[in-house]
Amino acid sequence: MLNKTAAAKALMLLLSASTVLVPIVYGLAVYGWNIQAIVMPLYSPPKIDFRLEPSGIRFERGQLLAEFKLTNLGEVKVMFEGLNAEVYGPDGKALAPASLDKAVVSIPGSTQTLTLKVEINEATLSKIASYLMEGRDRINIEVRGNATLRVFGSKVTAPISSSFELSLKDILRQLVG
Amino acid sequence: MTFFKFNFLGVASSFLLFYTALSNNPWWTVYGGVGDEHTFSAEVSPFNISVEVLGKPVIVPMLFYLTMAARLSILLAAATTLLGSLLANKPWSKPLISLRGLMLPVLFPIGLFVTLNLASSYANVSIPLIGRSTIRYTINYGGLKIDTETAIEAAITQEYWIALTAGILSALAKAVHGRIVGDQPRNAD
Repeated sequence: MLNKTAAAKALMLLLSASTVLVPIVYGLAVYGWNIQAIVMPLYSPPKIDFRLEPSGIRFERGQLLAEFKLTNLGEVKVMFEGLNAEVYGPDGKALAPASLDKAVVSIPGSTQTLTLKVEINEATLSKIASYLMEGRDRINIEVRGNATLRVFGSKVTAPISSSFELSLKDILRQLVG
Repeated sequence: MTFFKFNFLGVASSFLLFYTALSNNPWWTVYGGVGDEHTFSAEVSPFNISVEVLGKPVIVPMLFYLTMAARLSILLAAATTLLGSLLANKPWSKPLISLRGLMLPVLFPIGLFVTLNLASSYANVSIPLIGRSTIRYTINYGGLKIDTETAIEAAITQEYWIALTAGILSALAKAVHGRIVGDQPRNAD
Protein backbone atom coordinates (compact mmCIF):
# COMPACT_ATOMS: atom_id res chain seq x y z
CA MET A 1 0.00 0.00 0.00
CA LEU A 2 1.36 3.37 -0.94
CA ASN A 3 2.43 5.40 2.05
CA LYS A 4 0.21 8.53 2.25
CA THR A 5 3.10 10.79 3.26
CA ALA A 6 5.15 9.60 0.29
CA ALA A 7 2.11 10.13 -1.94
CA ALA A 8 1.68 13.66 -0.59
CA LYS A 9 5.37 14.36 -1.27
CA ALA A 10 5.12 12.97 -4.80
CA LEU A 11 1.97 14.98 -5.49
CA MET A 12 3.65 18.17 -4.23
CA LEU A 13 6.65 17.54 -6.44
CA LEU A 14 4.46 16.91 -9.47
CA LEU A 15 2.31 20.00 -8.88
CA SER A 16 5.36 22.19 -8.18
CA ALA A 17 7.09 21.07 -11.36
CA SER A 18 3.88 21.59 -13.35
CA THR A 19 3.33 25.15 -12.11
CA VAL A 20 6.84 26.05 -13.25
CA LEU A 21 7.01 24.11 -16.48
CA VAL A 22 3.47 24.52 -17.89
CA PRO A 23 3.60 28.36 -18.30
CA ILE A 24 7.09 28.18 -19.84
CA VAL A 25 6.13 25.42 -22.27
CA TYR A 26 2.89 27.29 -23.07
CA GLY A 27 4.86 30.48 -23.74
CA LEU A 28 7.27 28.66 -26.04
CA ALA A 29 4.32 27.10 -27.88
CA VAL A 30 2.66 30.52 -28.31
CA TYR A 31 5.89 31.80 -29.91
CA GLY A 32 6.18 28.73 -32.13
CA TRP A 33 9.19 27.38 -30.18
CA ASN A 34 11.21 30.32 -31.44
CA ILE A 35 13.49 30.93 -28.45
CA GLN A 36 15.02 34.04 -30.00
CA ALA A 37 11.57 35.64 -30.41
CA ILE A 38 10.57 34.96 -26.82
CA VAL A 39 13.77 36.18 -25.16
CA MET A 40 14.52 39.17 -27.43
CA PRO A 41 13.58 42.51 -25.80
CA LEU A 42 11.03 44.57 -27.72
CA TYR A 43 11.58 48.32 -27.56
CA SER A 44 10.81 51.25 -29.80
CA PRO A 45 12.54 54.42 -28.60
CA PRO A 46 10.66 57.72 -28.74
CA LYS A 47 11.37 59.98 -31.70
CA ILE A 48 13.65 62.92 -30.88
CA ASP A 49 13.69 65.59 -33.58
CA PHE A 50 14.03 69.38 -33.57
CA ARG A 51 13.96 72.10 -36.19
CA LEU A 52 15.88 75.31 -35.50
CA GLU A 53 15.30 78.36 -37.68
CA PRO A 54 16.78 81.84 -37.23
CA SER A 55 14.00 84.37 -36.65
CA GLY A 56 15.72 87.66 -35.95
CA ILE A 57 18.36 89.59 -34.06
CA ARG A 58 18.26 92.49 -31.62
CA PHE A 59 20.76 94.35 -29.52
CA GLU A 60 20.29 94.91 -25.80
CA ARG A 61 22.71 96.22 -23.14
CA GLY A 62 25.84 95.43 -25.11
CA GLN A 63 24.63 92.01 -26.12
CA LEU A 64 23.47 90.68 -29.42
CA LEU A 65 20.39 88.52 -29.00
CA ALA A 66 19.89 86.07 -31.84
CA GLU A 67 16.44 84.54 -31.81
CA PHE A 68 15.54 81.14 -33.17
CA LYS A 69 12.28 79.33 -33.62
CA LEU A 70 12.68 75.92 -32.04
CA THR A 71 10.11 73.35 -33.16
CA ASN A 72 9.87 70.05 -31.36
CA LEU A 73 9.02 67.47 -34.02
CA GLY A 74 9.62 64.50 -31.73
CA GLU A 75 7.82 62.81 -28.86
CA VAL A 76 10.05 63.91 -26.00
CA LYS A 77 9.83 66.99 -23.80
CA VAL A 78 13.25 68.61 -23.60
CA MET A 79 14.42 71.49 -21.45
CA PHE A 80 17.27 73.51 -22.91
CA GLU A 81 19.07 74.62 -19.76
CA GLY A 82 22.25 76.18 -21.02
CA LEU A 83 24.71 76.68 -23.80
CA ASN A 84 28.44 77.12 -23.70
CA ALA A 85 29.38 78.08 -27.20
CA GLU A 86 31.48 80.31 -29.41
CA VAL A 87 30.40 82.22 -32.51
CA TYR A 88 32.73 81.83 -35.47
CA GLY A 89 32.96 84.20 -38.41
CA PRO A 90 33.18 83.25 -42.11
CA ASP A 91 36.97 83.07 -41.82
CA GLY A 92 36.66 80.46 -39.07
CA LYS A 93 37.90 82.81 -36.37
CA ALA A 94 36.12 83.09 -33.03
CA LEU A 95 33.99 86.24 -32.87
CA ALA A 96 32.36 86.12 -29.46
CA PRO A 97 31.17 83.77 -26.74
CA ALA A 98 27.51 82.76 -26.83
CA SER A 99 25.15 81.45 -24.22
CA LEU A 100 21.45 80.80 -23.77
CA ASP A 101 19.46 83.83 -22.59
CA LYS A 102 17.04 81.71 -20.56
CA ALA A 103 16.02 78.09 -20.23
CA VAL A 104 13.45 76.89 -22.75
CA VAL A 105 11.07 74.00 -22.29
CA SER A 106 10.22 72.39 -25.60
CA ILE A 107 7.05 70.29 -25.56
CA PRO A 108 6.35 67.85 -28.44
CA GLY A 109 4.51 69.54 -31.27
CA SER A 110 5.21 73.08 -30.02
CA THR A 111 7.37 75.96 -31.26
CA GLN A 112 9.31 78.08 -28.79
CA THR A 113 11.64 81.02 -29.11
CA LEU A 114 15.19 80.19 -28.17
CA THR A 115 17.36 83.23 -27.64
CA LEU A 116 21.11 83.09 -28.03
CA LYS A 117 23.03 85.76 -26.15
CA VAL A 118 26.25 86.86 -27.86
CA GLU A 119 28.62 89.05 -25.85
CA ILE A 120 29.71 91.93 -28.07
CA ASN A 121 33.01 93.52 -27.18
CA GLU A 122 35.38 95.86 -29.02
CA ALA A 123 37.21 93.02 -30.69
CA THR A 124 33.91 91.68 -32.03
CA LEU A 125 32.90 95.11 -33.30
CA SER A 126 36.21 95.63 -35.08
CA LYS A 127 35.88 92.19 -36.65
CA ILE A 128 32.37 93.03 -37.88
CA ALA A 129 33.71 96.33 -39.21
CA SER A 130 36.49 94.50 -41.04
CA TYR A 131 33.94 92.30 -42.79
CA LEU A 132 32.09 95.44 -43.89
CA MET A 133 35.33 96.95 -45.14
CA GLU A 134 35.87 93.82 -47.22
CA GLY A 135 32.62 94.74 -48.94
CA ARG A 136 30.54 92.00 -47.44
CA ASP A 137 26.89 92.66 -46.88
CA ARG A 138 25.98 89.35 -45.27
CA ILE A 139 28.16 86.90 -43.41
CA ASN A 140 27.75 83.28 -42.60
CA ILE A 141 28.38 82.62 -38.93
CA GLU A 142 28.58 79.37 -37.06
CA VAL A 143 27.73 78.66 -33.43
CA ARG A 144 29.69 75.73 -32.02
CA GLY A 145 29.68 74.49 -28.46
CA ASN A 146 27.96 72.30 -25.93
CA ALA A 147 24.29 72.48 -25.05
CA THR A 148 23.04 71.32 -21.67
CA LEU A 149 19.63 69.70 -21.81
CA ARG A 150 17.31 68.04 -19.35
CA VAL A 151 15.60 64.99 -20.86
CA PHE A 152 13.41 62.69 -18.75
CA GLY A 153 15.14 63.89 -15.60
CA SER A 154 18.66 63.28 -16.94
CA LYS A 155 21.24 65.93 -17.65
CA VAL A 156 22.54 65.64 -21.20
CA THR A 157 25.48 67.52 -22.62
CA ALA A 158 25.58 67.39 -26.39
CA PRO A 159 27.77 69.16 -28.93
CA ILE A 160 25.84 71.50 -31.18
CA SER A 161 26.72 73.28 -34.36
CA SER A 162 24.46 75.63 -36.25
CA SER A 163 25.23 77.93 -39.16
CA PHE A 164 23.17 80.86 -40.26
CA GLU A 165 23.50 84.00 -42.33
CA LEU A 166 23.43 87.48 -40.82
CA SER A 167 23.06 90.84 -42.43
CA LEU A 168 25.92 93.08 -41.30
CA LYS A 169 23.76 96.14 -41.93
CA ASP A 170 21.10 94.73 -39.57
CA ILE A 171 23.72 94.21 -36.87
CA LEU A 172 25.06 97.76 -37.32
CA ARG A 173 21.55 99.17 -37.33
CA GLN A 174 20.86 97.39 -34.04
CA LEU A 175 24.18 98.54 -32.57
CA VAL A 176 23.65 102.17 -33.57
CA GLY A 177 20.13 101.99 -32.21
CA MET B 1 -11.96 11.72 21.10
CA THR B 2 -10.30 13.60 18.23
CA PHE B 3 -9.45 17.29 18.60
CA PHE B 4 -9.18 19.60 15.64
CA LYS B 5 -5.54 20.68 15.44
CA PHE B 6 -4.18 23.35 13.17
CA ASN B 7 -0.83 24.97 12.56
CA PHE B 8 -1.36 28.66 13.32
CA LEU B 9 2.00 29.72 11.84
CA GLY B 10 1.20 27.83 8.65
CA VAL B 11 -2.20 29.49 8.33
CA ALA B 12 -0.63 32.93 8.88
CA SER B 13 2.13 32.25 6.35
CA SER B 14 -0.33 30.95 3.76
CA PHE B 15 -2.45 34.11 4.00
CA LEU B 16 0.66 36.24 3.58
CA LEU B 17 1.74 34.05 0.65
CA PHE B 18 -1.68 34.50 -0.99
CA TYR B 19 -1.36 38.26 -0.55
CA THR B 20 2.20 38.23 -1.93
CA ALA B 21 1.36 36.13 -4.98
CA LEU B 22 -1.77 38.12 -5.86
CA SER B 23 -0.14 41.50 -5.40
CA ASN B 24 1.33 43.30 -8.40
CA ASN B 25 3.39 45.64 -6.24
CA PRO B 26 7.14 45.52 -6.88
CA TRP B 27 9.69 44.09 -4.46
CA TRP B 28 12.48 46.24 -5.82
CA THR B 29 12.37 49.52 -7.69
CA VAL B 30 14.95 51.62 -9.47
CA TYR B 31 14.26 55.03 -10.93
CA GLY B 32 16.69 57.00 -13.09
CA GLY B 33 16.24 60.75 -13.36
CA VAL B 34 15.06 63.53 -11.10
CA GLY B 35 11.54 64.91 -10.75
CA ASP B 36 8.41 63.29 -12.08
CA GLU B 37 9.99 62.11 -15.31
CA HIS B 38 12.23 59.08 -15.40
CA THR B 39 14.95 58.33 -17.92
CA PHE B 40 14.38 54.72 -17.01
CA SER B 41 12.51 52.81 -14.38
CA ALA B 42 12.27 49.20 -13.32
CA GLU B 43 9.70 47.77 -10.96
CA VAL B 44 10.55 44.20 -10.26
CA SER B 45 9.01 41.33 -8.36
CA PRO B 46 9.03 37.62 -9.18
CA PHE B 47 5.41 38.06 -10.32
CA ASN B 48 5.64 41.22 -12.37
CA ILE B 49 8.51 42.97 -14.13
CA SER B 50 7.98 46.38 -15.64
CA VAL B 51 10.82 48.26 -17.34
CA GLU B 52 10.56 51.63 -19.09
CA VAL B 53 13.26 53.56 -20.92
CA LEU B 54 12.57 57.14 -22.05
CA GLY B 55 8.89 56.64 -21.25
CA LYS B 56 8.51 53.59 -23.48
CA PRO B 57 8.17 50.03 -22.19
CA VAL B 58 10.81 47.37 -22.74
CA ILE B 59 9.07 44.02 -23.21
CA VAL B 60 10.70 40.61 -23.00
CA PRO B 61 7.91 38.12 -23.82
CA MET B 62 9.56 35.32 -21.82
CA LEU B 63 9.33 37.35 -18.61
CA PHE B 64 5.53 37.21 -18.75
CA TYR B 65 5.60 33.40 -18.67
CA LEU B 66 8.37 33.21 -16.06
CA THR B 67 6.50 35.56 -13.72
CA MET B 68 3.32 33.59 -14.34
CA ALA B 69 5.20 30.41 -13.32
CA ALA B 70 6.46 32.12 -10.15
CA ARG B 71 2.96 33.36 -9.31
CA LEU B 72 1.36 29.94 -9.83
CA SER B 73 4.14 28.33 -7.85
CA ILE B 74 3.56 30.58 -4.83
CA LEU B 75 -0.22 30.27 -5.12
CA LEU B 76 0.21 26.50 -5.01
CA ALA B 77 2.58 26.81 -2.03
CA ALA B 78 0.04 29.03 -0.24
CA ALA B 79 -2.84 26.63 -0.97
CA THR B 80 -0.98 23.49 0.11
CA THR B 81 0.45 25.23 3.20
CA LEU B 82 -3.07 26.29 4.20
CA LEU B 83 -4.39 22.77 3.63
CA GLY B 84 -1.50 21.17 5.53
CA SER B 85 -1.88 23.66 8.38
CA LEU B 86 -5.64 23.13 8.71
CA LEU B 87 -5.26 19.35 8.57
CA ALA B 88 -2.33 19.35 11.01
CA ASN B 89 -3.56 16.17 12.72
CA LYS B 90 -3.05 14.20 9.52
CA PRO B 91 0.41 12.62 9.40
CA TRP B 92 0.73 13.36 5.67
CA SER B 93 0.13 17.07 6.20
CA LYS B 94 3.79 18.07 6.76
CA PRO B 95 4.91 17.68 3.10
CA LEU B 96 2.10 20.05 2.14
CA ILE B 97 3.76 22.89 4.04
CA SER B 98 5.94 24.33 1.33
CA LEU B 99 9.25 26.14 1.72
CA ARG B 100 8.89 27.69 -1.73
CA GLY B 101 7.61 30.85 -0.07
CA LEU B 102 11.00 31.22 1.63
CA MET B 103 13.09 30.26 -1.39
CA LEU B 104 11.78 33.07 -3.56
CA PRO B 105 12.59 36.01 -1.21
CA VAL B 106 16.01 34.45 -0.49
CA LEU B 107 16.87 33.94 -4.16
CA PHE B 108 15.39 37.28 -5.26
CA PRO B 109 18.16 39.61 -3.95
CA ILE B 110 20.82 37.12 -5.09
CA GLY B 111 19.33 37.11 -8.60
CA LEU B 112 19.14 40.90 -8.61
CA PHE B 113 22.73 41.20 -7.45
CA VAL B 114 23.94 38.87 -10.22
CA THR B 115 21.81 40.66 -12.86
CA LEU B 116 23.05 44.11 -11.81
CA ASN B 117 26.65 42.90 -11.88
CA LEU B 118 26.14 41.46 -15.35
CA ALA B 119 24.62 44.79 -16.46
CA SER B 120 27.63 46.55 -14.98
CA SER B 121 30.05 44.30 -16.89
CA TYR B 122 28.30 44.32 -20.25
CA ALA B 123 26.77 47.80 -20.43
CA ASN B 124 29.25 49.54 -18.11
CA VAL B 125 26.30 50.87 -16.10
CA SER B 126 26.51 50.51 -12.35
CA ILE B 127 23.09 50.37 -10.65
CA PRO B 128 23.03 49.88 -6.87
CA LEU B 129 20.82 47.28 -5.22
CA ILE B 130 19.80 49.83 -2.60
CA GLY B 131 20.58 53.54 -2.38
CA ARG B 132 21.40 56.43 -4.64
CA SER B 133 24.10 56.97 -7.22
CA THR B 134 24.75 58.79 -10.46
CA ILE B 135 25.32 57.12 -13.80
CA ARG B 136 27.57 58.93 -16.23
CA TYR B 137 27.30 57.51 -19.69
CA THR B 138 28.65 58.58 -23.05
CA ILE B 139 26.69 57.81 -26.19
CA ASN B 140 28.29 58.03 -29.60
CA TYR B 141 25.54 59.19 -31.93
CA GLY B 142 26.26 60.03 -35.55
CA GLY B 143 29.88 60.85 -34.75
CA LEU B 144 28.88 63.09 -31.84
CA LYS B 145 29.81 62.36 -28.25
CA ILE B 146 26.78 62.90 -26.01
CA ASP B 147 27.39 62.82 -22.27
CA THR B 148 24.54 61.92 -19.98
CA GLU B 149 24.28 62.14 -16.23
CA THR B 150 21.41 60.38 -14.50
CA ALA B 151 20.67 60.31 -10.80
CA ILE B 152 19.35 56.91 -9.77
CA GLU B 153 17.61 55.63 -6.69
CA ALA B 154 17.05 51.97 -5.92
CA ALA B 155 15.08 50.51 -3.06
CA ILE B 156 13.71 47.26 -1.72
CA THR B 157 10.05 47.79 -0.97
CA GLN B 158 7.83 46.86 1.95
CA GLU B 159 6.32 44.16 -0.29
CA TYR B 160 9.61 42.28 -0.27
CA TRP B 161 9.72 42.28 3.54
CA ILE B 162 6.14 40.97 3.64
CA ALA B 163 7.16 38.14 1.28
CA LEU B 164 10.23 37.37 3.40
CA THR B 165 8.07 37.33 6.55
CA ALA B 166 5.68 34.91 4.81
CA GLY B 167 8.62 32.72 3.86
CA ILE B 168 10.11 32.71 7.37
CA LEU B 169 6.70 31.93 8.86
CA SER B 170 6.29 28.98 6.47
CA ALA B 171 9.73 27.65 7.48
CA LEU B 172 8.81 28.01 11.17
CA ALA B 173 5.46 26.37 10.48
CA LYS B 174 7.20 23.37 8.93
CA ALA B 175 9.66 23.21 11.85
CA VAL B 176 6.96 23.17 14.53
CA HIS B 177 4.52 21.01 12.57
CA GLY B 178 5.77 17.78 14.13
CA ARG B 179 5.02 19.04 17.64
CA ILE B 180 1.50 20.06 16.64
CA VAL B 181 0.81 16.66 15.12
CA GLY B 182 2.08 15.07 18.33
CA ASP B 183 3.45 11.61 18.88
CA GLN B 184 1.45 9.70 16.36
CA PRO B 185 2.73 6.36 15.15
CA ARG B 186 4.27 6.46 11.66
CA ASN B 187 2.03 3.65 10.45
CA ALA B 188 -1.08 5.72 11.13
CA ASP B 189 -0.73 6.93 7.52
